[in-house]
Amino acid sequence: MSWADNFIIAIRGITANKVRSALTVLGLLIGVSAVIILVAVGNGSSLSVEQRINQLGSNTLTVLNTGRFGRGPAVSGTQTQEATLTMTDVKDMENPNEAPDVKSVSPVVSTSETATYGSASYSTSVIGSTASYLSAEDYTLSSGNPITNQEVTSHSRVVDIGSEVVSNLFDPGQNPIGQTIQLGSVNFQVVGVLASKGSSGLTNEDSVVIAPYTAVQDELTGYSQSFSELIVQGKSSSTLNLAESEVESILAATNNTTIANLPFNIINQASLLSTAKSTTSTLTVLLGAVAAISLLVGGIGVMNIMLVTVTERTREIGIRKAIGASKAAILVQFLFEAVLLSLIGGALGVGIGMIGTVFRIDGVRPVVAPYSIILAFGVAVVIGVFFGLYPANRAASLRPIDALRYD
Amino acid sequence: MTSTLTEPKAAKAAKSSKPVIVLRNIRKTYMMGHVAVEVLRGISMTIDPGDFAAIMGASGSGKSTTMHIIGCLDVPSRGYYWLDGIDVRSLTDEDLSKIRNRKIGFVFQSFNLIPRLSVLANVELPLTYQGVKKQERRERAVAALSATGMSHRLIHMPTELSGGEQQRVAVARAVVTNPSILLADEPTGNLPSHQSAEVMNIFSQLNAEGRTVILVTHEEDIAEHAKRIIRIQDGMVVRDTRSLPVDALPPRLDASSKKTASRPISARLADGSSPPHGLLLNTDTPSESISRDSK
Repeated sequence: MSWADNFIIAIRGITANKVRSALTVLGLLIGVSAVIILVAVGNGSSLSVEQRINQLGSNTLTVLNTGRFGRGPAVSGTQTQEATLTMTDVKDMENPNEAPDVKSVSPVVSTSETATYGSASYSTSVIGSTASYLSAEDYTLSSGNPITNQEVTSHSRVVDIGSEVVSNLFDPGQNPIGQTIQLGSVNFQVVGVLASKGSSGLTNEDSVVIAPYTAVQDELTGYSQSFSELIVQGKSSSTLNLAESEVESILAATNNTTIANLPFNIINQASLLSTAKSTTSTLTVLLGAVAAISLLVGGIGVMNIMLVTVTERTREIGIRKAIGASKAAILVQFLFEAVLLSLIGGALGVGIGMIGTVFRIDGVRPVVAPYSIILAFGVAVVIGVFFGLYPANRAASLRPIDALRYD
Repeated sequence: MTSTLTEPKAAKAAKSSKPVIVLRNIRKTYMMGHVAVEVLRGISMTIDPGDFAAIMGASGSGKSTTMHIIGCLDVPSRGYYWLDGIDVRSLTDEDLSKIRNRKIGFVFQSFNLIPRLSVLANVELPLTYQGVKKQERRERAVAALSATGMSHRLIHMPTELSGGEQQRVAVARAVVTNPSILLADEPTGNLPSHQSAEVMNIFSQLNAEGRTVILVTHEEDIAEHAKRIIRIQDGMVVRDTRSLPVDALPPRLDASSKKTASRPISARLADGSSPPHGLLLNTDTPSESISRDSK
């Protein structure tokens, strides 16, 4: 028998019972598309978490003043006072001898203010810092100039504003550069507009006003020696852990305590990133497991249908054997049918899976993993072929008369 | 090769000395649960080429089981079966399917057409398994169907036909490979009498052309179409009566009544097929032992 004959016989077998064939295809389709979509969702969410964390700046340390009481500077002996992050700390950390892996240190004072321009007003967070803050936090300017260290020194009331602040205060098309806005009741001049970073999920990074910390302390928070946090930028993300221990040593020395008892929280973005990555890869594994179970269930459905199909066609197998079909010819027929059904089911499953991953699912854009397509398709075909051949082999091994008597 | 087809008498003369079917002491035991039931208890018979035999017996006498064994659809528990001089027990599963395909045509009481295939596709099927090309397959299937008077129903499904029509399609399927032996198990059992007559006349014509025909029946008037009646009772041959010699024309052949009979059926089967006797399997795919022994 030629391949064309086998193919035609298989097509006839498939089209002879359309409902049964459709159910077989459906089982495989659901299994395959579930694997592709769920793995893509897991993949997509882990990518989006990584992206958000990268937006925070991947090679920075954040030293947070927790407001706890430390033992105070060494000079004051046993005196207990509130631990502070001071300009001295900043200078120490920027000293390349003491902290060779630190690129820059940006002291931060922050507050919330209502920004007004004309009749428009908008509540936003105000960051007071130095020139290095912008690069440490991955901010870029879409227009205008960044704040400079000279402006910090001269207590200039200038601001760089986020894109959302622009859209809430200014009319579309209006150039905010050079305009004067009010933070609280104090006038600040806009010198730059920040490029949009999008929402990081933790804070809205576009709803921000960045000004020299000196001006913020002068006009908004009041003067204090202490900063609420320091943003320490490492030289690279690979040496961030070295930078972290250098910073810890410096802080322990100035606060006369041990590293274990530091009254500050140090957030390492690199370790945050790796934690988040492992969390989301766990999520992907979980979704993959759910998908694998649905593929298994689909496979069992296929097995059932194939078993029933071949069993109810035992008589047909008997007739075919009686008119001269060899066992091999019967097996090839059922193999062709099983392969065709599995290929159709698998291909439709891949198609539906690809369509399904176009849609955002709860804000997550699914990212298709090529391995999931190959895996799901391969498993579907293997399941279809095995469970199609196994019962066919049983029936084809019967004597013709026994197969004919089967009812 | 086709010359033997149109000269059945000559073919028979050359071969008459060698029986085509020899059964010796065939026994068959079925297990019904834990109880062994002996259906055949030593069946022996010899059929010469060109004979037209009717196997008769009551229900459960073992006549159908005998027929299944002759048709290589079943195997005996004990005993010997030589088909054209070959011991059937020595054949592989593959050889047996070739015999069922080319040497023997089998017609069932329940027709056994594949319900989801058209009439034409059903008749083409044995040729498909033989590896015949599509065009030739179609021509030969149409020829076989016109020989049984069914060429006007090519694209119908079997369920759309009457019982007599289905049986004529089944006969066409049995003869499409031009086998030398035609076996029919109660071929008229499910048919009304006028349709029975048509089907039986086709068997008579096929026999008149030199094919060996064996049929199983429990109806006396059907058995009267044969030249020889073998009666089976309780799994044993009880009587074997011959009414006409092997090389005579079948007793009830009515060559004039049917338009299908205007030309011999064998002549209608397309050229290139093997003659009824002399070749068990086509020479292009021979099983060596079979060809050697059959000469």
